[in-house]
Amino acid sequence: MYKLIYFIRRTFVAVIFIVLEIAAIRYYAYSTPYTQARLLTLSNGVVGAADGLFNNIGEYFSLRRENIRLTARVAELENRLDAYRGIMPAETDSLAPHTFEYMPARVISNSVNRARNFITLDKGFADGVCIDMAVLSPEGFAVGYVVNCSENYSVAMTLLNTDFKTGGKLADDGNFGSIHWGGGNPHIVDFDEVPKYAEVKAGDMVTTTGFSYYFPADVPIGVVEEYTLNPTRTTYDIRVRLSADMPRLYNVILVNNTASGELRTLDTENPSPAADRPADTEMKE
Amino acid sequence: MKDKGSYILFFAVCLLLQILLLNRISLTTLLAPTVYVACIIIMPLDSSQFRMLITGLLVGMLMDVTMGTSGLNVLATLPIAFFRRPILHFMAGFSDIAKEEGAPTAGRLGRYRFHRYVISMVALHSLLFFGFESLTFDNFVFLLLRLLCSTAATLLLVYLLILLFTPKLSRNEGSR
Repeated sequence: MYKLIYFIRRTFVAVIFIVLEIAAIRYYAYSTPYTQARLLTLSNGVVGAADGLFNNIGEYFSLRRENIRLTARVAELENRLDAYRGIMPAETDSLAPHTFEYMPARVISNSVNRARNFITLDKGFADGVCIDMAVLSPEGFAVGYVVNCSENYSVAMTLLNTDFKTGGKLADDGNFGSIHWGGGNPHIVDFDEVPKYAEVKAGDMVTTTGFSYYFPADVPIGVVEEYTLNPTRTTYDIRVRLSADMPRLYNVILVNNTASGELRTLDTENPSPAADRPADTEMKE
Repeated sequence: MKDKGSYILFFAVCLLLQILLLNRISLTTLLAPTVYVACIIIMPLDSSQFRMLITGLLVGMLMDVTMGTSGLNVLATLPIAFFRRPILHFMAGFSDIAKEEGAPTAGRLGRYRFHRYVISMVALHSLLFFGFESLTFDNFVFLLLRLLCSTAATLLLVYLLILLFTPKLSRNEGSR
């Protein structure tokens, strides 16, 4: 109580000053239409700037929620697009049946500094995730595929895993090769076994082949950074800069190839066609 | 306040000079001296902030009534009344305010500190007065000229008044 009285005694003159000053400004502001208009404009400017500042801060803190919402929206639109492809095969791609389902997921752990890197996702069996689902970045770039799954979580092997191997092709040229990571730079992967007849140049886009059990066709992997003929001068060794920003991966899109089971069965029963299929995305171990 | 009569006379001269003379003559729009600010400047050093605030309010209200400015004088005078102590401390470098009493004259503060104190008070008042009067920077050069000329004229008159009344106001200076 004593402290309260002391506080009031210390501050009451300042409070009186503020009250009187505000009253004087208000009285002056309403004295003529000119002062009213000018002070109102000034006040609106100050209030607007303050509102803008607080709004920006609020938006910054809601970015994570907004990212999750956008990723969900991207997955939903991918699903719709895939459905339209099934309905209108003549207008889109007649060889692309409606076989892929998309769902968003959040990355809860990610590593890029080991030889075998994995990401853990917040979706599991309960959410419809299953092993072998492809993992794409929100922008639609290849990231990896699911190798293990529990009820609520799943683990995906990323391109930055020395055990990962998948087929890739030059988007413009169409020649195939093998994508793998040799360790080291988390932004660069190797694209080998590309025939020497391929017309490769720096900046060319490298995409998935469509022969994969996991990835849809033409998913961007990265762009050609540099290329050289191998020592026997039969194929190109290409360094590809990844399109997906792997160290900063917070949200992903999971892609389920509903036909992968059927394709596997077919390949198992008829081993000869499987021999032609690139042994993509198979773990070495 | 030791010499109430001197203060009453000083206030009367200041306010009447402002009301009867300065508010009525108009040599140029660049000159609008506000000499009544001397009433706040010359208040005794031991005056409480509350007393300063009430003095500022009353002087400002009287000027508003006589000048027909609806709050402009109050909103310019209240801050210099309220912030006089910090101005004395920071602008004039006068830190022993609590120990002093009587009018803040050149003899008490020292000539250099006194000039800085008076100039700071008049400049702040003029800035608030002409800033709020204009409420726009559209005609910035005119505003700046009006501010500078009026501040200079106010300073001249304030110095003149203080010079006239210093012998009366600092009568008890030697008895400290």
